Amino acid sequence: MHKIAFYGKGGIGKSTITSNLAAALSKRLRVMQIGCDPKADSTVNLLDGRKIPTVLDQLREKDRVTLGDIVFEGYGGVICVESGGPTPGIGCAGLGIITAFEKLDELNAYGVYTPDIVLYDVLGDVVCGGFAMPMRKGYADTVYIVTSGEKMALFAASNIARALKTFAKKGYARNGGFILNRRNVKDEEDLTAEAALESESDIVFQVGRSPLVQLAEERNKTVVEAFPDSDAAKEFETLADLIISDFEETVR
Amino acid sequence: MAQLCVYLPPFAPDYSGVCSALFEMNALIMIHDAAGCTGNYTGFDEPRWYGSTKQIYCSGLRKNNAISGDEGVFINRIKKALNDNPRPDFIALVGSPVPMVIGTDFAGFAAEVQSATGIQTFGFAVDGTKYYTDGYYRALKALAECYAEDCPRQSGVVNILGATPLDFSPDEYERMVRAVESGGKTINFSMSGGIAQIRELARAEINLAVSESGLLTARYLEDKFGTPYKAEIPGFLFKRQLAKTNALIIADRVAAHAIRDRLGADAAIGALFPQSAPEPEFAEDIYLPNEAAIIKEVNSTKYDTIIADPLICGLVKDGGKTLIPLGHYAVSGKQGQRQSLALSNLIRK
Repeated sequence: MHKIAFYGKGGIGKSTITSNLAAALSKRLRVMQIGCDPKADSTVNLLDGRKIPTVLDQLREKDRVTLGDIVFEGYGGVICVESGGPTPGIGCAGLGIITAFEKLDELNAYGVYTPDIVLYDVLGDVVCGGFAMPMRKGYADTVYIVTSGEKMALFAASNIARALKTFAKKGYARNGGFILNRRNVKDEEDLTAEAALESESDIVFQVGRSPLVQLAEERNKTVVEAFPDSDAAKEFETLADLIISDFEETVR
Repeated sequence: MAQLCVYLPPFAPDYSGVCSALFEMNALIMIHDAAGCTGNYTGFDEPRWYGSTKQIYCSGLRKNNAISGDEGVFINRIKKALNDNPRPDFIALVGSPVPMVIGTDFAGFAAEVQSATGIQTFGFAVDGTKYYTDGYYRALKALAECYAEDCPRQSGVVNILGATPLDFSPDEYERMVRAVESGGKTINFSMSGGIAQIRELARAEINLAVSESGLLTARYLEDKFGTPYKAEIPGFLFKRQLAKTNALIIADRVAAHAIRDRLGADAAIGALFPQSAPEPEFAEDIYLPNEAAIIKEVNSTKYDTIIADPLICGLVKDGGKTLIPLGHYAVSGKQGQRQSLALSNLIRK
């Protein structure tokens, strides 16, 4: 089982990339996607727009939570989980992620569903220990940093790369590189390449801007499901190839 | 509110169990807390601490450390503490409630300390919400995972698991050891064991689980090495004769069963900790998860005799019941020892 996490600035397209990748990977592997965001919308396009109960919702409501309460099957058999979070403005979202992950461990979620690959879609920047949870030893093996060429996105990306470097001594995940989600800003590739270099990272993949992605999302679907023959869908198939070859390389 | 303790102190928590299991070893132990938990362990849960030079440290976690998450300051404190004993066999970082709330990654923290000091380091993500039984088990499991070798079983060798001052006084422990040795057995690991004995845990032909802590550990070692185990306190003999027989015994589960066996009476057993092992003889124990449940049970008209820690005996309202106070350090510490017939008075001299 290989585990990878996607980090990046809020609104940069992590959930879009993660769920499209999950849909593309699901043709070849058993995939689990875990949304790590209090908004709990990471897996919504794999579930036809259905919002599933989150781990933290269920922990609040039930004395005894089972896997059946928090794990749902989506498009292509993708196993979908949302960690959830506190009521906006109160509580501690970071501790929420830790608690949700501990609950999944306690219920032996990975052992029961035996995914080949687990994708963690993590909220925004690494603002506290809780948001670093998916990077910790035993969770993601590799972190991909999603960014555009916009200044604030690159700023967040270099913060995340720095956190990964700092955490290396703790045995945390390795930095798999930048994924450039193009917004078509001026000199986007050069600016991103420069930021990646400064962060001792590489741009490992570029996702082009396609109106079909938005169109699919309006239908509560991934582009892989809604427009399987489109160039946009094929791009995610290529990303899936890259992810698989990257972890085969790592295992080797 | 059912979890609230109005009359009883909180029982010894998981971090005390970790420290208690490691106390006799050549280890540097740091409890990651502001001082309260370290004080609770050294002041209330660890009779061996008084006058000892053992390296039990408090990390001195403060609000600003919690906010910044900078573990470098603690690593420097550990390095300084190593001046007192530059060569411990290992370092143990022991959790408490505050690190749990701020999401400290003890495995990562331990990896960093190990990299900075070159000394094997264990991180125990305990948080004070479980009992010492769980802490003891976690400590022994971590050491066994790291050091224990799959060596051949040797006839006549035993490990004594779960013997700490939280359940046994020094006299009781000595009698236990004497009983095993006078039976012609050799003890590998016991309360005084170190890394050398941990390495050879698998050498035992049988593990003796002398308490709930020991049961958890014995089950783990059965899974890991196939070593069979017995829940038994060697040399245990209850001298008291009871005229009435409707007794309720509230104690560590293994001790409670040993008392009932010696009584030869049809006594009920109240267990303070969740059942850890599938032993069929434990199936009818009454689990008492909180003070309210304990009060209800000790005041039930079903019983005319209560054998329990003196603080628990103090919860009995009916003056007509026979009370036999039995000090349990994990429940009442020094206070209970003063007020009770210690277990040592009840077992064979």
